Amino acid sequence: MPTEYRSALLSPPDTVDSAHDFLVDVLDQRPDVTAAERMTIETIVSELITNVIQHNPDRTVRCDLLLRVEPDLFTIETTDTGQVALAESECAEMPGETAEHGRGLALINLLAAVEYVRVSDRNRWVLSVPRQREGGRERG
Amino acid sequence: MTGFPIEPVGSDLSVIRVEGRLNMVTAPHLRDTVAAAVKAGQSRLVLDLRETSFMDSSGLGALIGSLKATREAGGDLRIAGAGEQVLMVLQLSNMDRILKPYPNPETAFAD
Repeated sequence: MPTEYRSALLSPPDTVDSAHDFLVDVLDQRPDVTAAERMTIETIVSELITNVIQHNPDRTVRCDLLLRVEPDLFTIETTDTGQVALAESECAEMPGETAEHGRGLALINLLAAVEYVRVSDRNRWVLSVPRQREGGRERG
Repeated sequence: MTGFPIEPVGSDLSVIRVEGRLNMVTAPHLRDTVAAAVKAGQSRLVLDLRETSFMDSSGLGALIGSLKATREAGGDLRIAGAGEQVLMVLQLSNMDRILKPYPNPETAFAD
């Protein structure tokens, strides 16, 4: 099976559903990915892509998405042409209970190890999720 | 799609069936559906999440906004039938304390 899966979005017209549809197609080909892992990956990618789109409401933004599936680790990388994103440390806390926005990056931080860098005129996010093990044995 | 199906149950309770993904694309539709229901005098609402395949923080924000809208109108909003992924997001965000998940729509207002 392949290790890397790539997709490119251009929003608009693409939406977060475009990335989600891509993920569904990929993960349907990966019976080794558990339901719990799938939930985690889908949630992370949805939050990441939503964040990119929401922070660039008045411009077209390109976002390249990479999912790497290794025996011990998932890596999700996005590179986007949007304006400078907030560093993850600034958004790591859950907002108050009545807040209707602002949980996306906090959720991501609970699900993955997060690296953010601004490279030239692009935002690059690298998220790492250790894979679950069954009975203490590696899979794959 | 511009809204989710809503079905009155009895005289003062309605069930909104949330189908598919609840994300930044569809969250506004849920907000609109709830706002229209509240405007029409239906402020006790159950969100039937049995057919909700996915929810992220945008969807969660719509749930919270909907809860506030019903309570401001003197009613309440409850969620029922959430799947594992929706429950995960509720638990990670600690919002399962505010939006207690009920097993099914029939029991959501049983207390």
